[in-house]
Amino acid sequence: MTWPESVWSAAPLRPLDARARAEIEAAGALRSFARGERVFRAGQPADAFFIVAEGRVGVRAVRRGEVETTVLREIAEGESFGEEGSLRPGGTRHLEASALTESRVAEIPLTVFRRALARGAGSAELVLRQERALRRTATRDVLRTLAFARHVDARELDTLLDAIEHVDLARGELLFREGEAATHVYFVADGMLQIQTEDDGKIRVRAYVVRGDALGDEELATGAPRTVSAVASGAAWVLAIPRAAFLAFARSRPGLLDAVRRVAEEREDAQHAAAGGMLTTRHVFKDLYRLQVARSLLVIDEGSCVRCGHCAWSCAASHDDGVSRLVRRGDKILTRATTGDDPLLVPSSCQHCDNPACMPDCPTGAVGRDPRGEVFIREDLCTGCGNCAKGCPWDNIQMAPRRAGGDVAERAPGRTKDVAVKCDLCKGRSGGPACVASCPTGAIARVNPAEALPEVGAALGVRPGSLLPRASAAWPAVVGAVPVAIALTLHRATTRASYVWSGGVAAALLVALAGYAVVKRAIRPRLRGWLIAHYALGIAAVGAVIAHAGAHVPPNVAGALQLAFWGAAASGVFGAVVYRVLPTRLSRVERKGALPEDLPERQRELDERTFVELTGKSEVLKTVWARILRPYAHSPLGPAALLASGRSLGDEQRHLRARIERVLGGRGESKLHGLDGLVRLAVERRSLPLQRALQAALRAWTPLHIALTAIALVLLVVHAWLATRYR
Amino acid sequence: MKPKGLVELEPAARRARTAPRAATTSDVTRVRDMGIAAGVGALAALAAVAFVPSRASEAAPGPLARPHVQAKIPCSACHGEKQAKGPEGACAGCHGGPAHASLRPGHRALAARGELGCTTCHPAHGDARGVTFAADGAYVLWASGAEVRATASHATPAGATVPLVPTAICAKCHDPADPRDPLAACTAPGAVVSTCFDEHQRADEATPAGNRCAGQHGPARFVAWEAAREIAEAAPTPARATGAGPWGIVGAGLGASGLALGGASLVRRRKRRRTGAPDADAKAVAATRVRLPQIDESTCIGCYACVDACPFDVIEIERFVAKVVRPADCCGVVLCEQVCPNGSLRITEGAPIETRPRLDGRLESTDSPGVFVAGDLSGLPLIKNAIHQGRRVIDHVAASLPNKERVKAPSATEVDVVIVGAGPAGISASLRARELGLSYVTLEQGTVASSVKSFPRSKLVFDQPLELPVEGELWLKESTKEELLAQWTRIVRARKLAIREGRRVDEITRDGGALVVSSVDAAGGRETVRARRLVLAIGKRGTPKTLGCPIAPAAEGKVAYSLADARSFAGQRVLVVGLGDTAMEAAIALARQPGTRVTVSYRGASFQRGKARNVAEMKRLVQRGAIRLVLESCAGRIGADSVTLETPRGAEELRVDAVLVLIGGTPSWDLVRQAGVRMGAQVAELSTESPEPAAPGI
Repeated sequence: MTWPESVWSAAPLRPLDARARAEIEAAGALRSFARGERVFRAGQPADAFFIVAEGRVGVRAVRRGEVETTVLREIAEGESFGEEGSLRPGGTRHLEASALTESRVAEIPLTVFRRALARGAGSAELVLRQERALRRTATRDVLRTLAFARHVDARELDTLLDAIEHVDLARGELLFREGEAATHVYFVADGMLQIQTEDDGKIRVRAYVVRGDALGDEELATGAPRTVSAVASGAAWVLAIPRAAFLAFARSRPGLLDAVRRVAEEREDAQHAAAGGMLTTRHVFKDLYRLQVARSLLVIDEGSCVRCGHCAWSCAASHDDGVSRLVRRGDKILTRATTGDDPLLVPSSCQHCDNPACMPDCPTGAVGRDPRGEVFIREDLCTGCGNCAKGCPWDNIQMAPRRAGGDVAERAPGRTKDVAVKCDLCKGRSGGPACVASCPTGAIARVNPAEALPEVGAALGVRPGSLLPRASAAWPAVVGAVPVAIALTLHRATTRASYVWSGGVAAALLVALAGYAVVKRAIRPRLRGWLIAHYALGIAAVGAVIAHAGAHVPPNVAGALQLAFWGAAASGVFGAVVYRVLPTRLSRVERKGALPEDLPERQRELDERTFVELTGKSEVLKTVWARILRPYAHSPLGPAALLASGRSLGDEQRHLRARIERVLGGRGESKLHGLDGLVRLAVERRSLPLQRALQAALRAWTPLHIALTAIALVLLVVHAWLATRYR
Repeated sequence: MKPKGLVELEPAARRARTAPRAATTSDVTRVRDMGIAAGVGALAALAAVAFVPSRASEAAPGPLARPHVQAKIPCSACHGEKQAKGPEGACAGCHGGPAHASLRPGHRALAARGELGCTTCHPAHGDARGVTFAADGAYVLWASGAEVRATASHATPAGATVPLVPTAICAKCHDPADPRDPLAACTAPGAVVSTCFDEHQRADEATPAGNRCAGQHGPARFVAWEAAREIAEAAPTPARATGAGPWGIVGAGLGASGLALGGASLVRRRKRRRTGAPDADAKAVAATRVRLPQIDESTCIGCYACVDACPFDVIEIERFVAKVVRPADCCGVVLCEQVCPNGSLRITEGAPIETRPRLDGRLESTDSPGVFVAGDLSGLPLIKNAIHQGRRVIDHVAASLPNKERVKAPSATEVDVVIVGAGPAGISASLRARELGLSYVTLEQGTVASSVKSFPRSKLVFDQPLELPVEGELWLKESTKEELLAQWTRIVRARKLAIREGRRVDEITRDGGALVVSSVDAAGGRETVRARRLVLAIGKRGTPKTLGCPIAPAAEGKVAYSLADARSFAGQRVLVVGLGDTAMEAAIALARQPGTRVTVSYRGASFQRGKARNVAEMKRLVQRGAIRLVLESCAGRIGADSVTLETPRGAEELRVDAVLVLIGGTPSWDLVRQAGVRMGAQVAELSTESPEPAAPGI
């Protein structure tokens, strides 16, 4: 017996016999901590509890609504702490503990403790009692982190302990539904729930509640039925207190219910302020849960994304199987973090959740999470059953053909021909994820939304950290290159020597310009700087070519070279201009991130939806569609008008709605149910050709530019060879 | 503790039943394609340079004049170190300076001011022209980079060269069209070269420079001038340098890269189509025997793949392994076996199925030639399969019906094929018949796709987990009932399919080789159609089963056999009879309406069938009091505003506003029997070959 008696006399261990003690000593550990040293921190697995053998330990946590940690409990010799694991198997810690004085602490694995207890001391009743005691202590700690605990004396809270029930919810599970009787008050211990109402089949999220928040308290006093529904946004753990117990508790503490209400109202006000009224559906508020759990979310600033697709291509190129883990489709979110009023696109790519839904779903444990929080799939263990891909709420895992040694593996026992793939943050690649590095405009970034997006931080009560990284500007280099180009043109070649000199410069610049493509494919560095250099070199090359060849195009290879160069230069300038001008225009008329190949399908889909929307609607609405909306949506010059007006889809909807109201002049107002949906469809239908045109403008010049450059390079070689033959 | 339940309201919260597949997007392919296209373009440009060369040399703005090429004058002779002021000064070195001063005062004055040099009229590169005479009257008419060899008809001075000045050069100062211009004397109207050769030295004067002039121009200059004039006026100008030219080279390169880009996308599209092509008749015919999944519990990893794949919730996970929980619902389509990652689930064949029409591999009845069966009736469920079968069955009909057997003049009373039923299979068959040019008529007792229409509002029409091959254009991926119907009605209207709604087929007889199909409409109007072939696509719903109880005449209007839109029952008291999936879905939808009071009556003592999701939600709603479930009951009498429910505990009077009878339907077996189709196990082996069209040009 090496552990001190102060440990064994602690309440949970007192009933254990000698054999059980020996077992626990073998499995556990007696550790010493200096003053201020951390015993455990939040996020660690909660698979053990502790008993102080000597000294004092403080259990701390950030209480909801506060910023700094508070000491919840001071643990003296012979007392236990860190019992969180008894509440939820496989959970992680939410509290942290550190030594207040120099201390010695015994760590006792929960499983060993339970086994020893069950086998040793005998009665099942004892096991239950000890278990209940542990849970009770753990619950007390959780209770003290709640927002309303600030208004109540810590010891008084203990009277609630016996009434508390623990509710575990999976994503999408309902805590209570609108119209049900209010039987409990709830406090969120972990996870997130959304408070929502249903309006004609459409869900409207009213508020989000997270760890420490109370919900369902409004109707308690009156006993009225629930006015809202509460649904778990993700896996959640809720403390439920029956109405009667909580009311009795509140009666003895006047003002408590008001305090709870006030805390909830403050939270809701903060969220409303952060969400800007929550009116736009594209706002972060629409899927706050996603932004809460994401640890490394891929976002693309639509104001500078030029739709080149380098991100997806470089992703495919940096993985052996050639499958891109990133698809530029997805929802857009509005945020103040961007420079303009452009939204951020959240493409489908793994966001490395805090509590990944894919991980528990995997039957073979192939999905893992490393200490830094990166979620990864062990390909060897993956059976290809697709359970993780189905479990991911955002379709960020895809099934791809399994490759072994370059070939698609034959279907062997225990393995399907598929394997689950997802973003692995380009593990092993120096310089971070390839998608971020390869973005020529620096529009794409991996961020922790709670830190990078101020609204998310505000809604969750987290301090905002670093904002979105900004891309470096191209204009200084471009402006700087112009004088160089002008200086070059002033040295118009006349003599042979000057021809050789200017030709050499022009050739070197052309090779350097074409080298951009090689760099992009072979080295894949951070591309932004290289693109800026490409712009500057291009401008200088124009000067060098004018100096060498002038304006005359001779009917020979030199002339062809000149034509190819001017073609490449012109397409390059066009590209640079559209890259600067069009992304903002395009993002205004897009509702979601879409690839060019999606747009024809989208058009068909819109026509279908229109048909569905119109069936069973009033004659007034059908007339409005036939007379106003249909001509509006299909007008051949409509897309051009939309572009010229510079309105976003939302503005255009309001504009069109106003026009319809002018035409109707108040007639048939009662029969216009469903008009908003149709206006939405009509506006999007009108914007589709514009989207296609703008996407084409952003993408179609590249093949021309690349082909002309390749032709110019070949001709340059021929030209240089021929030129050396004439002396 | 709180009752909990899955919310099906928020789509994001719904767990997908299909795992998304990685697809190659244009973002990835375009970079590859552009690389290929650029390479091809560069090679094409190179080929254009190599195979169709331009005659122009690289260092010059145009081809060198022929005499300079012949004399092998190096570039450095004119563009060397000495000619720092330009190449002009080099001419005098060979040609002699003063002798070539112009005789014309105007030109001479310009030359003196340095505004007119040798190369002004005689460019060494570019548009230099002239005639060089060889022996025996042969001569070369040359221009920039091109030359024509010919023989003069009269005497020519051998070795003489006469430069010709293009009028285009004169036109820089002169106006050749103006008769008052001195140039008019030197050019015939429309001539391309000037024919005045007395610019530098009069023709009849002796040559002061002696040998040098003779060496370059030949001895008899006058003769040479005359001959040159004649040639210049008669012979066409030599064609300009043939060759790709700068535009040609670049154009060839760009054209080739454009073709490569188009070709790459075409190849990809074809590849995609090939991999996505349906695999013949593999799933066109229902299984002949009862099929049931057998699960090896020692290897099952409990991955849910089969659970998600099964459209009828036959399988569930119990204690970490898959279990067959509703064997009766198994449809025999082996989706679960296909997705099982480690082969723990195998489909085994059991007893032959006796309740299916006996069909051969071409979906033709083995007992009644000429009668084909498609859709649910054949024993193969799912809308997708019905669409697939409808198309296939017409292919087989066409194959079995040679051109000479077809109806020559189709009319309302005689067609190639009669299709009975306009559900998914019937519409698909009609569409295919139209495509293949068969004459057909489709008879439908209700309206187009009425069984699909009776689905609950916005029901997802089966988000099929695996990619079953679907032919034709009727299918929409993961669509709601309304979307599917919208597309179908649009196709029926746009293609003008000959579907006659409201005609119930009640008699099928044979008359020689033809089948006579007799039908009645609601008004009792009878029509008969003679057909070569018959396709039965009547499904299994048949006519809805009715309650065997008396219905008061006043209550007839409130008894319905399907639920189209639960919203129309808001605030009413509704009795739902039945506890199958349809009934449960209807009851759940009704219970969600504000103020609707739902009572469900079922003759069984407990839940006996149905999807797990529906059962769970029903139990939840019953527990919450949103639905009242009366088990072991049957309707005794339906009155004007009440229903009598008879239970073992005694009769109960229930006040209701509407009654929904959802207890399934009786398939029209009579009709099937009349057509000569027999039930039982299939006798023929499945044929897997695709049918060949009977006649060319189909």
